[in-house]
Amino acid sequence: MPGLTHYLILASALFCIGIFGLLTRRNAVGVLMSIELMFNAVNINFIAFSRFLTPDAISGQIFAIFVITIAAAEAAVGLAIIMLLYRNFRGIEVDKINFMKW
Amino acid sequence: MSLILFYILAGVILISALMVVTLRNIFHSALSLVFTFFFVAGIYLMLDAEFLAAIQVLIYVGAVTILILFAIMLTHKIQSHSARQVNENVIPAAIICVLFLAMAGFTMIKTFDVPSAPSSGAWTASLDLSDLPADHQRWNWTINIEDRQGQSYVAGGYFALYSDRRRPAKVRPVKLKNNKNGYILSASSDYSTVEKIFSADQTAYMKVWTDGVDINSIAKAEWTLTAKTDFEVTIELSNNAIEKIGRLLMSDFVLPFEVVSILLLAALIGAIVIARKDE
Repeated sequence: MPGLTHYLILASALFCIGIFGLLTRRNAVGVLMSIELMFNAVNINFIAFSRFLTPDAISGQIFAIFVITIAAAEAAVGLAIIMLLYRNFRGIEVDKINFMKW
Repeated sequence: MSLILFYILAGVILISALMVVTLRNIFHSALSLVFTFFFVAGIYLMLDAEFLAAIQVLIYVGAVTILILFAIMLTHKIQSHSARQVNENVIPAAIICVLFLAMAGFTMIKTFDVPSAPSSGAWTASLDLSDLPADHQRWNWTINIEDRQGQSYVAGGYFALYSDRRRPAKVRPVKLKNNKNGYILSASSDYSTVEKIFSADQTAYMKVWTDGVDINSIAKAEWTLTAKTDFEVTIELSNNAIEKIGRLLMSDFVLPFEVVSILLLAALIGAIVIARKDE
């Protein structure tokens, strides 16, 4: 039987992979995909804690539902922003979009 | 058995997640993102969260990846196949991530390496309190579980009603804040104890753990509730969290639910406004 620690370590490994992608991807869509990976890691944590620590209450699953909802909203807005960036800069490499840097 | 399944799922998840962040072709990354999401849904199933697994498949595998694929198609350039996909931060980022993972893993192993509740065989029993006879303070219950192989298991515990002075008492209602009659009910099973104040018309839910039974193989479960006298009641068994999720969303979490609906509406309109071509 996998215990709580198994799930937590899986989630943190997934979260670290997400951070790695977030830091290294040049493509803005790749950055968004890394953020989705991190959301999934958070959800695994929520559900695992809900399952193992308070099996009678399922608030963790409710939180995960809200996280999924907000992740969907974030993906929609983020991809709209990417479309706009592509239209104005002819490319979505995040290291080229620096006109607000001083 | 389920440990092997967990390792398979975790391996596929981690490998395909690594492919998401390292592949040169962003289109292939999106496809392995689909794999990651799908197997994370499998992890949800292992955690008894069937509803969330369905949501994961519907929203992530069905909707979010389609959005991402659309964005890739609409922004893809031919020469970007050969373009560098990662920036110069690869080595520092890898070092930071490995260090963070080591720290987090160390902390988790140190913190949560305690025997927790057994991870299989959870059933929820619901019991109408008004069905309880009024002349006892404590009812023992047993549950007989039969799995698909015909093996049977027994688990047990007790329900106890407390008076407001925290002593076991005969069924004597306590006054709740809203002037209703209520009971303090403590329900215990082999691994968990629930203690809550219920009003008379409420149903008490508790989760029951039985050792050594895989929840998916349970074919039949029968409850008996016995007091000193001959008294037997069958308790309704339900194992779906979906009903509880629905109730919670409409009662305790109704404000976040409504706020999130407005957020979704705002995100929808915002996405349209941002992505629209200027006239």
